[in-house]
Amino acid sequence: MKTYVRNFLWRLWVPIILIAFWQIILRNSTNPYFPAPSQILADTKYVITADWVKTSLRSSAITFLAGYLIGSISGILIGAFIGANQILREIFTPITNFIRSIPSVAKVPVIMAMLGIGQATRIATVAIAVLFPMLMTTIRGIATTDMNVLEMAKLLRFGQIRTLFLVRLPAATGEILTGLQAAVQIGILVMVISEMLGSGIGLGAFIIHSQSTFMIADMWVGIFILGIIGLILNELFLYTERRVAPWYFSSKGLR
Amino acid sequence: MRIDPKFSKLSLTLLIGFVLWELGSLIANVRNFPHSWVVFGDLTKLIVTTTFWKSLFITLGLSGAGFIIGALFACVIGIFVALKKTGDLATSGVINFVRSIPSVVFLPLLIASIGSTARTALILTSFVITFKLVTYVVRGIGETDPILIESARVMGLRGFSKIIYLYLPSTTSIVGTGLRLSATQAFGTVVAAGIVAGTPGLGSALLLAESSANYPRVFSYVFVMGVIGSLIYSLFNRTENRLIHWRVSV
Repeated sequence: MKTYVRNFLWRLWVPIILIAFWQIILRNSTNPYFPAPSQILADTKYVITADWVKTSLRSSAITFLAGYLIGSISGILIGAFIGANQILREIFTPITNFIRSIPSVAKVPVIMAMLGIGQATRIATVAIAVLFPMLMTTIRGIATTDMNVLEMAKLLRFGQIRTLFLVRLPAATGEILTGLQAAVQIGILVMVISEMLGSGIGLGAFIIHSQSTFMIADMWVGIFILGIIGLILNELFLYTERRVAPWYFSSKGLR
Repeated sequence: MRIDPKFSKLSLTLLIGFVLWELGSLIANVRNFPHSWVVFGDLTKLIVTTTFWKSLFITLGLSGAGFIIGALFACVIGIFVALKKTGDLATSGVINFVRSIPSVVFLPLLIASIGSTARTALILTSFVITFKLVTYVVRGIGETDPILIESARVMGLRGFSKIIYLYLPSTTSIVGTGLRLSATQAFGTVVAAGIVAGTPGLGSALLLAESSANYPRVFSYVFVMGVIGSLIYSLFNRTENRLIHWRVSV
């Protein structure tokens, strides 16, 4: 924990220098699209009002969290079911691969055409965007369970379901966590797009609206808030991941 | 007569795909989620038009160009960052911050300052790929075997030849994974720019079909995008497995 804090502080000097640079170059900037950091900071307190938090931020949070939970949980469950059976795996992998290959942005207008514009649609788009990468990683994680461990489960007379939940799923924790982490980025991206395309509320709609009404500093505030949210989620994942499945991340040499 | 198991699996896949599709159009409104045969009928009409091939080539060209530009930037930045000691730790915060901003939020800015042109899509794609790949380059260099680094030092490798003979081969597997993931993302970003900002290519063609409520056409484009995405992925996967055959792909 101590080294974590120290590393975190050590990481701060580059951003501070970059922001100082930005401030010095653009302090008297007349370019309407790139205001100086001081201007953006001054604007922040006008943007972040109780009302704004209650509408934009809350709507985005609900969209993301609900979509992410629905998508990842169903992805893990369906993936576990498909991954445990070789025939099912061979039949379904091309289908999931194909749907995953469709850029997630292109799925948004299609889902909107089906479900209309609204909170439920936005949640559904995030859920679907998260579902397919989760399916892929879970299927792969489940399929590559160590044969010896499976033999052991057979010797202990574990049934199909017990093997799946007590042996195969725990063995795939590392893969699933990696997938969950990648899905955060996809989820935020799709959340923003669904808010941008549907005339709705939320951070994406706020950014588009600020741009079209020439409140460029507001737009930058929105961009920074999205970045900070993404960064916090990412750090949370890195932290839990090393706690939950340390063996996976040290054996793969990841991070 | 014996049936080839590969063939029977493929036909089962197609059958289940078909059933899932029809289930979709059964649950949703048929007007907004057309039957598969309607979409494939439209697809045969679509692929004989020149506008389709034009937008396809624009999209592929932009993805390729953005991918290459982004990869070059990522290599330069990544090598610079990774070879400076502790530079990695200090800059990774910035890189992670920029990476966690969803790329499309820069589109309003780019539209306002450049316009909905191909350049907008190109700039966005190069930007996304740079920040995606740079972490793979940094990680790859950071995980180079210390024994290899020592022996390179003993043999007097330095500067450019050190990069070519030491880091390039030892980072291939990690950077290869990054390249494969970035290639599909480059395509996705160009499409995203088209859908959100109306830059030329398949994305804006899809948006046009959607705004005129031509749903069979929308699904045709989505299908085409799926095919291209799969092709790009499997192309990179195959090349990667052939070039780096000594390890199992992650």
